[in-house]
Amino acid sequence: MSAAGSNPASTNGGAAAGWRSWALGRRARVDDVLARALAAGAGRADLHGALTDVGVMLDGVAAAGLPAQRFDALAGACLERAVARVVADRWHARDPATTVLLDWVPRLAPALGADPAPALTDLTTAVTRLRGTVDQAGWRELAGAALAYESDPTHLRAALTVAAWRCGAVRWRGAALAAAGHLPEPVLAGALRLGSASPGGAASGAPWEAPPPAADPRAVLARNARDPWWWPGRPGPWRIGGFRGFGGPWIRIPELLGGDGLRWWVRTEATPTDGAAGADDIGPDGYTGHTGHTGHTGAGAAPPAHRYWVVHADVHGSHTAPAAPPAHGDRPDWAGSSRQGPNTRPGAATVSARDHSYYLHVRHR
Amino acid sequence: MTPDVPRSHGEGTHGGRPSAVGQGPRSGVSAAPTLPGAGTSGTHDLTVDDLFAPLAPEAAAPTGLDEKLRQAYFWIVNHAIISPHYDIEFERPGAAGRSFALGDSAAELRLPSAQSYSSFVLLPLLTFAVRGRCLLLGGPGRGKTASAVLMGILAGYPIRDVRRAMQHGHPQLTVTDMFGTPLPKDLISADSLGEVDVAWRTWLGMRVKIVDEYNRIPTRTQSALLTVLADGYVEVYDQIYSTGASAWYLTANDDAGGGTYQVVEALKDRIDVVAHALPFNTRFLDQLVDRAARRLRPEESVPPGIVFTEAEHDALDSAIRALPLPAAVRRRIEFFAAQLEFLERAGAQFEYRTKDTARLAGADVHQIAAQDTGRDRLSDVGTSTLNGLSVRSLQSLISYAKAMAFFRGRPEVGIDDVRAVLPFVLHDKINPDLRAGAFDGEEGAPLRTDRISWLRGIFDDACAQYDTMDRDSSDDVGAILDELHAGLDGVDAATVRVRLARIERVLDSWSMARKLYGHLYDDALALKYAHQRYTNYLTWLSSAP
Repeated sequence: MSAAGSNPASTNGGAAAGWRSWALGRRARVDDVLARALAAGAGRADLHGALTDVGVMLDGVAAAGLPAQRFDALAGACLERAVARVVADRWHARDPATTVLLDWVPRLAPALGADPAPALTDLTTAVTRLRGTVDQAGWRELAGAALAYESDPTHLRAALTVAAWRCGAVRWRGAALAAAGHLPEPVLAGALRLGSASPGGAASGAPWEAPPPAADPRAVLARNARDPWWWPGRPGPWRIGGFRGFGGPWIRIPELLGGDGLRWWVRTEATPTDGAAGADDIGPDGYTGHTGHTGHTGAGAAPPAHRYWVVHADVHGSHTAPAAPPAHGDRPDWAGSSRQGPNTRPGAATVSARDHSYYLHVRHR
Repeated sequence: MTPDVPRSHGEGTHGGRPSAVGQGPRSGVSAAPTLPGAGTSGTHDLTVDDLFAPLAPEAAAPTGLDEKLRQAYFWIVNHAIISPHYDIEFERPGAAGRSFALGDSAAELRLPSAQSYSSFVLLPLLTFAVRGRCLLLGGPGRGKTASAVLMGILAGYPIRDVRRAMQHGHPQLTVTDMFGTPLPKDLISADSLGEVDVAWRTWLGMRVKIVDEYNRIPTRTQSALLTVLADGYVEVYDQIYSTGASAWYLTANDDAGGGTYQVVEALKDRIDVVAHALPFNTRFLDQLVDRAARRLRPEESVPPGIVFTEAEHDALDSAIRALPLPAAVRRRIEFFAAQLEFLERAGAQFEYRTKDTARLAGADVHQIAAQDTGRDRLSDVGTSTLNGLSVRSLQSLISYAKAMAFFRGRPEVGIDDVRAVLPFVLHDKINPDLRAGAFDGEEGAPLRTDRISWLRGIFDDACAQYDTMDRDSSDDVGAILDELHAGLDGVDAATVRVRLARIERVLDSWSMARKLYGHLYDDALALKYAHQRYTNYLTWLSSAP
C-alpha cells in the first residue's frame, strides 16, 4: 500500500550504512557475481568502473535514509543488473539500463518496494521504449517528484505513464488521462508538475525553474481532455514537425490534409533523389510485395509521388510516424475533409500548414 | 566496436527474464530483431500496459529459422570475419539510396536504402541453408577456409572434427585417400570386389563438407569428387557410400587455372555459387590487433544459439524450398535466360539455332554471331556471352533466390532477390565473349575483369527490355500456354482450330514485323509445342468414333 506523505525510513527500521559496508557484508555473493562475470568474458576494468558508479549511486540512496533491509534488496538487484550490462558490453551512459540504475533509482528508491526487481524491469522497459521520444531528464524529475513519498510501487506504472505524457509521450495521452484518475492527488500533482498542496513541495521542480502553476490537477486534466492544447501557463502558439536537418521528421514541406483533433494526416512530396533520408515512409521492413525490376538506381519501380504521415500532437508533445498511402483518395476516413484547421473539438486550437514552412502551426482560436 | 548494427538494445541478461534468443551473455548474437518491424507507429490507442510490455526481444517466441540465420550472419560479420562490405545491395521500393561519383573514373559508390549484405559471408551461409555447393575464391589468408570452417561449426560439429574432416587438395591426393581405403585383409581374401569392405572416411557423412584448394586435386580424383558432388554417392571397389544432403565448400586461390590441375569443366558446373573473398579494409586493423591481444579465435567461440541441429537444418531447407516464386518473377528469369542461348546463324533448322550447336561443332561462337546484321549488339544481352544457361544453373539460381528471400524474411521471392544472387550463381556458368562490343569502350572495359558487375548488368538490361515491352501485361504466348495447360478435357474441335489459328496468327505477326531475338526464339518454340499438342489432340478427336 502507498504511504504517501510518510518517511519510509521511519517505518522500516534503521538506515543502511552504504555500498562498501554492504559489499563487505555480502562478500560471498558479490564474489560469486563477479566471478561469473569474469568467466563470461567481462573485463576487470569495466567491472570496476561500473561498480564504482553503482557504489556512488547507492551511497546516495543510503544517505537519503533508505532502510537497511530495502537497501539490501536494492543493492543486490543493482549489482546483478550492472554486472549483466558489463558482461553484455552495454554499460555506458546512453544505455537505458545504465541510466535507470544511475539516474532513476536514486530518485525512486523508496517507491521500488521491498522487492525492487519487477519495478526495475518496468523502469528499464519504459525508458528503453521511450528513449529519444520524450524529454528523459524532465520525465525523471517528474517521476521522482510524483513518487518521492511513496513506499511501494503501487502507483509506479500510472505515475510513470502520466509523467511520460507530460514530457512528450503524446501517444500515451489517453492512457495517461485514464491512469491519472486512480492516482492520489500528491502523486498526480508531482507527475503533472502542477502546484498542488504536495507535501514538501514535491512538484516545485529545480530551484532555477519557474514555479509550477498553481492549479487543481484534476480540473486541469478535465479541461485538457476537452481541449488538448490547453494547459496552465502555456498559451501557445506551437509548432509541430520541422525540417529533418534540424531534428524534424520531414525533408519536404508538409501539406496538411485533415485530422480529428488529436491526430493529423499529412503528406509530403517524394522524389527518388530523396535518398535514405526520405525513405522511411516505407517502414523498416520495406517490403510492399513489389516484384518489378529493381535496377541500380531503383529504375523500374515507379516511385510514389507523395509520402504520408500521421501526426499525433497535443500541448505536451508530438509524434510523427510514416504511414502507408490510403487505399482510396488521399486520406483515411478519420482525417475528415477539411484542409484548413481540421478539428472536431470545440474550443481547441487551429492547426495549419504554410507554403514555406516545414512545421505545422498551432494556435488557439 | 564492430561496424555492423543489429545489436541488443533490450534487457535479456538480467532480471530473471529469459534471454531473447537463449544466447550466452557475451555471445554477441543480436538479441534485437535483425530485421526490425515498423514499431509502434500504428494508430491504435496505447495503454499503460503497452508502455511496460516486455520489449520485443524479451517477448520473442522461439526464434524463427530465418531470424536465426540472420543472427548467424550478423554474428559472423560482427565477430568472426571482418568483412565490412555491402556488395549485395537492396533498395527500398521507390526510395533508392544515393550515389556518389568518386575519382577520375567517376567510380560510383552507392548507399543502399535497405539492409544490404557482404557476399563473402552471406553466400556461404545461404549455401549452408540450401545445402548447396559453394566455391570460395581469393588469395591466401583472406578467410576462405575460416569461413568454411565456421559453416561446419554452425552445423553443430566440434571445431576439432571440422578441421579433421577438411580435405586439403594436393597433387598426390588419390581417390582412396579422399574417400576410403579397402581393408587389406579383404583385398587378400576376397573372391570378388563386392566382398572388399571399404573403410570410409568419416567426413563423407558430415552435413558440411570442405575441400580446401580443390584446384590442386589431380584430375582423376576430381572426377570421383564430381560424382559425390553431383549425385551424393561415392564408389570405391564396387562399394557405394551415400553421403546424403550436405553443404559443400570448395576453396581455390585462383579461378583461372592457377592451381596445380585444371579443374574439370563438369566439376565447375556442379558448383552452385561462387563467393569472392573481398580485400581487408585497413580501417579495421584495430580489430585484428584486439583479437591478437585477447588470443581470440572466433571459430572457437561460436555461440550455441546460432548452431543448427540436423532437424533444424532439414526444416531450413524445407522452408526455403516451400517459398513461392511468383509468375511475374519467373517470367523475367525466363526472359533473361532465353536471350543467352540463341544464336541465329548456328543452325539451319530452327531448333538448332543455339550457341550449344556451335560449341559442340567446335565453331567460334563470336564469328557466327558476327554474321548477324541489323541486331542491336549492345541491347541484345545474348551477344556478349559464349554460352547459354544449363538447367542445373537455373535450378541453382532459383534455389539461391529462394534462400535469399527467406533470409530477408520475405513471404515470396522478389526480383531483387534474384538480382542479388544471380551474378554469384552464374559466375562460372556463363562465359563472356570478350570480343563483343559490350566490353569495348570506357564503360565496357572494366566489365572484362569484373564478372559480377557484368552479369548483374546484363540481367538489369534484360529486365529493362522486359519492362519496355510491357511483357507483364501483353504476353500472347503466355496466354496461349495458360490455355493449353488448363487442360484439353472437353475442348471441342472447333475450339482447337480457333486456338491453332491464333498460334499461327501470332507467328505470322512476328514473321512480318520483327527481328528474331532470344526471347522470341523461345516463344516461337513454345508456340510450336502448343501447336503440336493441339494438332495431335485434333487428330485424336477426328479419329475418335
